Amino acid sequence: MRIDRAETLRYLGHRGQELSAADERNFARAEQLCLAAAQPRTVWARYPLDEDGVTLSGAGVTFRGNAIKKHLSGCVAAYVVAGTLGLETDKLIRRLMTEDPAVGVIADAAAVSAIESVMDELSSDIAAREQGRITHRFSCGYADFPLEQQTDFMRLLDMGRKLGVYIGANMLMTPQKTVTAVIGVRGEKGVHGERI
Amino acid sequence: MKRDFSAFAKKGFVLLDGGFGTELQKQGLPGGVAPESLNLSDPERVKDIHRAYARAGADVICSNTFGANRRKHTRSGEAAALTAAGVRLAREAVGEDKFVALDIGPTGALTEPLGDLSFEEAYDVFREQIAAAGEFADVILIETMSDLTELKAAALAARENSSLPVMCSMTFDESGRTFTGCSVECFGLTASAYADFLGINCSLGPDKIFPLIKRLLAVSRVPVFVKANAGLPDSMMNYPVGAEEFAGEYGNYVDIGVSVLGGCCGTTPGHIAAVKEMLSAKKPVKHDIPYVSAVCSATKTVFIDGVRVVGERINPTGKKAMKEALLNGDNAYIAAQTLEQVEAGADILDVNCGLPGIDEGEMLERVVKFVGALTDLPLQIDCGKADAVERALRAYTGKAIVNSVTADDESLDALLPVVKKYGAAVVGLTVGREGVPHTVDERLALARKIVAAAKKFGIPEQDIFIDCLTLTVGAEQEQAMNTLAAITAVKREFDVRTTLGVSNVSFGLPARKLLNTAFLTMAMYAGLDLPILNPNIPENMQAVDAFNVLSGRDAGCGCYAEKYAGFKDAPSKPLAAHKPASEGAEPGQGDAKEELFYCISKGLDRAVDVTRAALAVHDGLWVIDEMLIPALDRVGENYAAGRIFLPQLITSAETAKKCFDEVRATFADASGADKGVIVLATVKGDVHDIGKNIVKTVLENYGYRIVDLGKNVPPEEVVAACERHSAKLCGLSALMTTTVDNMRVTTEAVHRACPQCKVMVGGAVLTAEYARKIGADRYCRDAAESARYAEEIFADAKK
Repeated sequence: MRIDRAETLRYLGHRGQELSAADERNFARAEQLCLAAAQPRTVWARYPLDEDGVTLSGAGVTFRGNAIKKHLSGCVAAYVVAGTLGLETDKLIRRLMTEDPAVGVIADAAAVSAIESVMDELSSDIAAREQGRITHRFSCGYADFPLEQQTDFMRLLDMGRKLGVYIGANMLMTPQKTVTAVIGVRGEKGVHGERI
Repeated sequence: MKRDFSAFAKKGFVLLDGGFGTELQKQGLPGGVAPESLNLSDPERVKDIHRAYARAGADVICSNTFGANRRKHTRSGEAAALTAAGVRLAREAVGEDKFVALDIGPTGALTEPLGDLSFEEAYDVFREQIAAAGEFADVILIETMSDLTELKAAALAARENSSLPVMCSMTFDESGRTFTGCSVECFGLTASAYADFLGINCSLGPDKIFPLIKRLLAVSRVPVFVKANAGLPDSMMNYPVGAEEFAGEYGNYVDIGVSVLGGCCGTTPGHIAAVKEMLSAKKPVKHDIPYVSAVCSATKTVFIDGVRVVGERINPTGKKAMKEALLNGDNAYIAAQTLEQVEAGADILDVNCGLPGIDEGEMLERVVKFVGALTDLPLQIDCGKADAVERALRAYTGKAIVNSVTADDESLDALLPVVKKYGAAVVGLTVGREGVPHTVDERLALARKIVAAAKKFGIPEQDIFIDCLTLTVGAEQEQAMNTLAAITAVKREFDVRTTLGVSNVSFGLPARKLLNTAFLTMAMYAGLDLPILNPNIPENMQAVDAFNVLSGRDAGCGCYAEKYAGFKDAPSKPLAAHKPASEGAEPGQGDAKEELFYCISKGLDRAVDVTRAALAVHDGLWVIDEMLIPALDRVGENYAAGRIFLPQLITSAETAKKCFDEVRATFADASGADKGVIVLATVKGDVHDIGKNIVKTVLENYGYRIVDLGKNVPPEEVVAACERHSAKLCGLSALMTTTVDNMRVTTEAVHRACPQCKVMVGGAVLTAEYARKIGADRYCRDAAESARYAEEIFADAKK
């Protein structure tokens, strides 16, 4: 897990403005607190895809919407993945927004960079397992991939028990820095559609 | 014949069954299908597993209802139907020979303040499950909880809607913390009040749970049980611990006093049969309930095994600013008082909302929730009214202190049952119907009465904190020594702890700090455990630190040496004038307006000095209108133009706030500087409130009084706040597409009830067009924009 300063700045809407010494101190403090509070955890499961290209074989789950169908086209299997920084990060940001809001907003952005890096590491591991034949991550809530399918991720990955992720009535997950996604595994060249 | 589980458990070992979901998955249940749905779709398969465990020798069969709650099964009546079917199947499968446990797992949602599930809703979800189980169950098993608030809701729902015994279990990592940060100790201390058995289940194998069970035994007031996994599964979900090894490990549990045992994920009828075999060669080991005096929040335990400081600042008595903050719902002031005491080293915080003409229960509940969300220090509920105390205790997750009962039957009979029900500790004030005692013996007699009454209600001595009452030494000089002698006498006679408000002793005399610290030191030597004082006065904390050294509690003087390494006795010289900042061009000293803008835009503390200098020649309103607001406006323009970005905007706003505070201090009436009231909320269903908090920070620093309703706020609450404060402006935020519709509902409700109130909206997914569509008066893309709109509204209002 790492925090990318350039990425954090981008999330905060930074467009080249000069940073004062105080800003630098705020960034350093936010990043350090974020790294100390985060308890990154990930979980994944790999399923072969049925003929329709969007049904996880034997799992009783079918992804809905055109976007995910397109994303998984040419894929023979899919990874269902989830990662979180844990609740201590939520508590940290909450506390900082009361104590020192300037550091609080930076910590919030830095935590996004941190969870993205955690998910990137997981993607790399999966890429290595699959000889690089994977798609990028696609999450529900994007395009027409319904947010309601978050409950399928929760159940398939036992996210409550394994990650300490909770889901609200509006499909919002807590801890807030939590990501779920689908990663497709393409068939080998020339054997399109073949099961792995 | 009604089967009596508690009586059975008293007689010997109790063997619970083993894993259910993992058994089903082994048989090929797809991961996307909820196990409890089989209660209706494939009941025979469910019964087969129950029968297998019964044959293996389990005394208790847990129903397949772990996830059968309406948060997971949202169709109306579905959760209740699955629950009813589940307990019925368990009973049908095993007949009357075995006990059936109604199995209750977590809702999958997180409770407030971090999540969106209110305590009341959680309670109702579980109440529904308990009601649906009807007559079939013999015991209620609440398990795999990671959120102590949710566990409390489930256990209270069981207690208040059923006469069955209640078993409660949480799931911990190896360090003994749940995902929400709840420790084994916090669980044991808190849940002892609501359960007949406490346990640990899931997550870990029997070897890793063993040290955690020892910790639970050290604090639990009720018998302890275990339901371990068969170790940690590999990626193919194979569990490594076999039946014999599992049973062998469980032998160690029996030896330390655990007599109720079962299995969780990965355990099979084979595991349970092996445990049965192991138990046949053993006898239960009696475990005595430990003597532990401690209080806790959901995540922090404070053992009263030495002097522990109770911070007294959240109390309106004689404090005008706190009084106004409570009445106006000014959470920022209460937050500052909370954090300051935490920083100063308080161990416990007293919360008092005793104001005339208010609904004390409502306010106490609100403030306890607010303070409890800010700090993990345990709280002391400072109120003598039973109904208000009950509301606060119900809202508080942890083991709190109730301050206080008096030695009067009316007070004892009203409050002690509430203290007992919620497992709190209680302060017993040695005052009777006859008034304030004067001799040591009178105080001791009153303490005796309190201790006897508490024991009658089942409250042990370690949960009783006797207050021998501080009187004013200027008025009744001999009373100081009587108070101290009474402390010693009470400690000699009982295993209670003692508490005392210290500062009253010096009332009416000069140099009060001198007397207070001397009295505090004497009282600690006499046996005072819980001084109630202002931790922000350094001398108070210094006296406690010094006492800990001299009494030998601070072993090797380690804490003292570390804390006071750089301590200087004499007050340091006045700080040298601030050096000019090294960054950027400095404006000329003569132009105060420019200089203030410069300082605010760079976030320099010197802004306060510039403000102070301006106040020497101008009145406060002039400084606000001519200097501070124009400076903030320019900061806002710079932000809009992209010359500064978000963290810099906030730093500027925070600096401006310090200047505003400086100006406000010059007003006789603090409200004189208020530019108006703005109500802010993140709408119902949404728990992402960072945007709303940024807007709040900026608007506050423009001089508006912000009524911040927080996140996940129902429309009615927004309307009520707008009405109560006659607000002219209300700001709503929502982050997710799924919650913006609640913004429309809230906007309409506000417009209907308060036509004078404008509604501004913002949030990541909102657009100006959508804002228009839902009838909002203005879309504000950022905090600076909302400040500009507020200026518009309140300028119009002035005309």
